[in-house]
Amino acid sequence: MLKKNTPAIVVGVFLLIVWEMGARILNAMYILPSPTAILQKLWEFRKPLFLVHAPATVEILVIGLLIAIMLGLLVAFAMSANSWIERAFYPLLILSQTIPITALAPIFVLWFGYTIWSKILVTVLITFFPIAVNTFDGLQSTKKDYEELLLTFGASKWQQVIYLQLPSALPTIFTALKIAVPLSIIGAAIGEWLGAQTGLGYFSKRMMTQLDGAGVFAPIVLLSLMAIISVALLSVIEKKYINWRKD
Amino acid sequence: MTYSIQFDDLSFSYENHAIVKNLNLTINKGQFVSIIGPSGCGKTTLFRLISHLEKPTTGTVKKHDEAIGYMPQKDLLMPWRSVIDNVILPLQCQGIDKKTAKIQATALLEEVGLIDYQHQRPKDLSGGMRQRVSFSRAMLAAGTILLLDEPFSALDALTKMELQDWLKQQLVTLDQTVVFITHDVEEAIYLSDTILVITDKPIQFVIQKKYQMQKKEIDKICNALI
Repeated sequence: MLKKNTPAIVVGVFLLIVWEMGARILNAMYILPSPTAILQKLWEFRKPLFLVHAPATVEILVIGLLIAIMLGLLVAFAMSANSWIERAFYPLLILSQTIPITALAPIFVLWFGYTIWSKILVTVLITFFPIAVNTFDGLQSTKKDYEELLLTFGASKWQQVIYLQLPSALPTIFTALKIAVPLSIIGAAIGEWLGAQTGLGYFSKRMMTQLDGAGVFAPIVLLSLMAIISVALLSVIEKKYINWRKD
Repeated sequence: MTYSIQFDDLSFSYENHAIVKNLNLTINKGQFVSIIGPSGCGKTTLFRLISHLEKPTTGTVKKHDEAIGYMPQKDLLMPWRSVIDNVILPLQCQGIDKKTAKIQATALLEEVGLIDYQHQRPKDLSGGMRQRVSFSRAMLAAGTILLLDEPFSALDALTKMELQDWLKQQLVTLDQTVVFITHDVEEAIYLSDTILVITDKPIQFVIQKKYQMQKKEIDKICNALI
């Protein structure tokens, strides 16, 4: 694992050194804080960041992702089961990606105020698409030979879904989740930037008004860590449960 | 003798191309019938018609037993299922609970010599073993009719011979009607008691031969066709 990631670690460390040196030479911490200054800030604000703002963001992420996963799977299965639904929804789904969700976010604040729901809506809208489309593609990729074999066994439509479509779509569902999780973090942070009283996005914005560059970056580091840990966790689960593919 | 499968004046067209035309054919109970004929002549279409994957344009296919065991050319094992879970799939589709299905499957896997591999995934098996799992699955799906569509064509010569012997041995104890598609005349002669030779397209009639008496004649026809 370590050997596999060595090149990435080497390049990462090199970039951090360049950043540190560049920031020190520029000597304008409110514009470009150094990595060590950001770490110091993280330590300084550890209590509010870890006890107040991170939990608030995680709450939005969990609720938003759960809703997006349920909706995405539901729409994907409905489109896969019925060609009329597919023809009705698929073009709209693609079209929805032309709408800049971030530009719509202030309207959600108008609708829901500073409550959690404006942020959840942004998260859902930003993550729903990759989940629905990837799952649908996975369901569609089921080979016809297998479908016909199940038909000769007398399988019902429901049995086709449970015994064939769902298991064969699982790899693409995991891919969708690995795309959706980092997106959900971006969605939650954008929502908090635009209107919130807690959360890492809100904290970053507050630091911005105080021209505290390192304070702006500290919650961003936490957001990135959240994304890295979530994707790594998903990869572990994927490896454990989708171990039937040829090595 | 009672019929197992009967085509009554059956015609089938696909995108305005006639594949089968006014075919009348009876396969009796307990027969092992091989179908040989040139590529693309519609042999597999006959299987698809028997298993209701295609609807006849006119005419009917009658079967003595609706439960069919279909073994395709590719093993079509589900890679996410273990050997035993693949074998029980037809029973699960029939609504039989997993525990009961596994009891039946275990007995069958014991017979086919795969009991030690029951928890392995298909990716861990050799080509021959995978075909045996596929055969076991077809056996559990079947009532009295087994449809085998070139089941050994993708295997190497040695494994193929081994599995032909194995299949012959398995079927000795079973009272099943077997319909077997193959390109291999030797295989057809070795395994079956009756050979149907498809000579024309669309399929209108088949030449039915009792191979023991007419091996030379079948060889002659097939050499001209294949």
